[in-house]
Amino acid sequence: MTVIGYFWLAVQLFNYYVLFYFFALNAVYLLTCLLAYRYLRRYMRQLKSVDVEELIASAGAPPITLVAPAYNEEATCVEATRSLLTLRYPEYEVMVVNDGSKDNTLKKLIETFDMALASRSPTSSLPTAKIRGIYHSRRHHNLWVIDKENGGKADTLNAGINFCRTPLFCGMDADSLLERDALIRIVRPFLEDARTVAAGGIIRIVNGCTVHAGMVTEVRMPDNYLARIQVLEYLRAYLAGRMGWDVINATLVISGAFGLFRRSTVVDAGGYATSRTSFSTVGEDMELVVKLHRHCRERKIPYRVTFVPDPVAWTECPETLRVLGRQRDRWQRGLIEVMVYHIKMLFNPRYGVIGLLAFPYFFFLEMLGPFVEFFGLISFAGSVVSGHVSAAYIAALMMVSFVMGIALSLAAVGLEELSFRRYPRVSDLFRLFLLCFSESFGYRQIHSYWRVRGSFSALRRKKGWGKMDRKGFQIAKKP
Amino acid sequence: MAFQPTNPLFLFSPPVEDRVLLVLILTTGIFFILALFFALFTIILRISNIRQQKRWENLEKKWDEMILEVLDGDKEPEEMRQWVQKQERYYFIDFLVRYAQRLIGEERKIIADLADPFLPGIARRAHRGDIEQRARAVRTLSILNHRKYRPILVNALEDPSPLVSMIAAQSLLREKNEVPMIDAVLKNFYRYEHWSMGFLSSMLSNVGISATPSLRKVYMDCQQPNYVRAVMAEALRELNDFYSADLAVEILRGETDRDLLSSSLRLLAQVGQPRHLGVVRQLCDSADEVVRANALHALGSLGDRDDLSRFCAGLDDASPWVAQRAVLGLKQIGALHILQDLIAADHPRSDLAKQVLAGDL
Repeated sequence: MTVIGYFWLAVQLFNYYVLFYFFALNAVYLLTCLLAYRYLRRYMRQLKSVDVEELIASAGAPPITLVAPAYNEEATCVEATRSLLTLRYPEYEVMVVNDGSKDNTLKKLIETFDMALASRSPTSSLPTAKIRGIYHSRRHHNLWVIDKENGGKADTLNAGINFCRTPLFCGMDADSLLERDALIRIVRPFLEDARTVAAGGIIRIVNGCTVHAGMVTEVRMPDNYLARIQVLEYLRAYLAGRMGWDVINATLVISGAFGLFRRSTVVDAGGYATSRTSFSTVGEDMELVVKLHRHCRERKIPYRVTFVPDPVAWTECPETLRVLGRQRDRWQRGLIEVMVYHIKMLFNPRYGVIGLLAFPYFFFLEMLGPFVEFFGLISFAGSVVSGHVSAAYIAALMMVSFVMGIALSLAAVGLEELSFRRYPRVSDLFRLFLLCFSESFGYRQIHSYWRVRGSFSALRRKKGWGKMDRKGFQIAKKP
Repeated sequence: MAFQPTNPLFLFSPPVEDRVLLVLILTTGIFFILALFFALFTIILRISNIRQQKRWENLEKKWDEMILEVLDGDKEPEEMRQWVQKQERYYFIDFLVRYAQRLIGEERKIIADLADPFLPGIARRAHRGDIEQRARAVRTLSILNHRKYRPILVNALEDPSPLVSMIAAQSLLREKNEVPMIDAVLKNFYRYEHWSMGFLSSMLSNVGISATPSLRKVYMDCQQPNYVRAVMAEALRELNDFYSADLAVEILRGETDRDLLSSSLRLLAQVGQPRHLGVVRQLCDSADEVVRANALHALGSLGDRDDLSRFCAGLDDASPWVAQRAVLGLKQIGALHILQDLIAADHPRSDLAKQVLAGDL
């Protein structure tokens, strides 16, 4: 056989691999959807019979520190902090950690909340960039701002943990808006099961919603098409994906925008990954959860990492291709960095379901997926053009991909309707339906491209977050 | 048109490709049906949810009217119960719990009577249901008929879920002067490590003075976790238990845990006597800044002008918390001139002294 013959043989083998990857990925998605369906149905029945908020309020609750890192967040930091101060929870502190912002983030916080320099003793000593000052609000006894030199998000969170006095801390983004009862809901696993070391909540898109006094008062689908697609993506990722994985106790990701952790365990595990603690990654949220699994399993500490579907954090999503591309590039980089660093866990029975199922899924299907999808497209196109594969075959494959994508997206919308129904307007529901169809044309392909680009960025060891433009929340108009 | 391979090694030779094509077409069909199913499922869910919400609203409106008639004596409880369908009973009980919480005395008893036939079912849920259901069941029983279901509440203290156990503990401590109940609660107290110290100590001190012997016993029990013993110290402080001052001294002499020492020092600051000053003075030199700060706090309450040098040393302590306690202590023992000198001398702690003299701290 000639060299060209071997080349086409390799292409065909790759085509088969793409086909296999494609079925495996969708089978996992379908399975997690089914698991999530079963769980959510039971969960909603439970919620209907139990007023969780009242129950926790009556049982008292452990104090929590909200650690909100802020870097150049002047557009949203005041509104977001205000929202944190109005949460319904018996005992909590808000700690905004300014990561050496170059804009007026610190100034705005100091002026708005009447902050003054104060002293506060650290409770742990995770290595971080230098602390420049600690401010305490004269107006809100539970509001603190820690000003530090720039060191990145993970470094900022570590600084917050060092000054946290409570047994639990909530890692979040400074621009996230927590729902008023979010803490009451997310603390539940810690009260129900003493082994719980981490719990994640659901992240929803605030674009298009109306915000009043730091609270989302009206939930609506955004007008911007890209933002709308992200609403659907988040529903799929959280309600179908993370929920399903949680059913088999294999939660490997807790979003950096909203997660509750047991401070002592996080400190023992070494805190968030930075160049000062272990290695620097932009996927610090995932890295922490993977590290907690490793830490507890290697030391045989009974533990539980879980996902709770009802506590909500609202976040502003990118509305331009440029910014969204940067964000997805960063997510892919983070994923690769974490997977490579913890590769020891891959197919390692010592790490139980995490090592044998969750980690391989993220490694082969999520991390390598973009390459397979992107180069698969090129390979199929090449095969068709060269006459090695019939156009009918490719058309059928595209059709399956299209219909599978629609089915899974519709399943996610169904899960939302089954559980929380945050989009009460019928028009919003139909908009979600339409998105299930339209996202396959253009968006999915460009998304694959961003992830491939992110993979190459990781190979080039590119660092940094990339600039995120914030336009601020849509504030409710005064009547 | 049939596809013709150009290479004999070609993997997608016509029969294979035909089979793959067939699989793809079948998969498309299956997923198309699934997609249709999911879409229909979502729409049906939306309609059924709207209907169900309306149904519950109407039901609650109807019960609202009836319950007022029952409370006024115009209707017998049995008459109202007949309106409750089997599938509505848990919802009805929740409705009664909401009502019962707003009522006292005879009216609350009427609500309890109304709920009584449904409570055995709730009691079964206290053992069998999910965590939230068990927690809810324990809470419902404690609100609607605390005395009758007390054994279930005591058993719930041992529930694997700390949440259920905590709700049972709160219910059992709600009745004042229930000494045997406080012992049962204290037996399981180590399970509440996630709750805040302030919350736990208030829960215990709300029982009243009758709880102090049990609290003192746990406070002195070396087998208990230090966190639990620290909570006992806080509860005894809230109850102003003068008998525990000597116990605090004993603990301050023999223990090293920061939380336990700090709580004991706070207890001593409130209920101690000048005869207890020895151990407090020793702890002013502790290596732990939190202990030093609390020792200076206790010294401020119990000490006198003989301790001026200790307070002055505290002013130069590296920890701002220790310095703050030292300044406050100086004010407490009436050494205001030292604070005024401090301000005049432009000492690093002069701002602190200014704040304390102005009453801001």
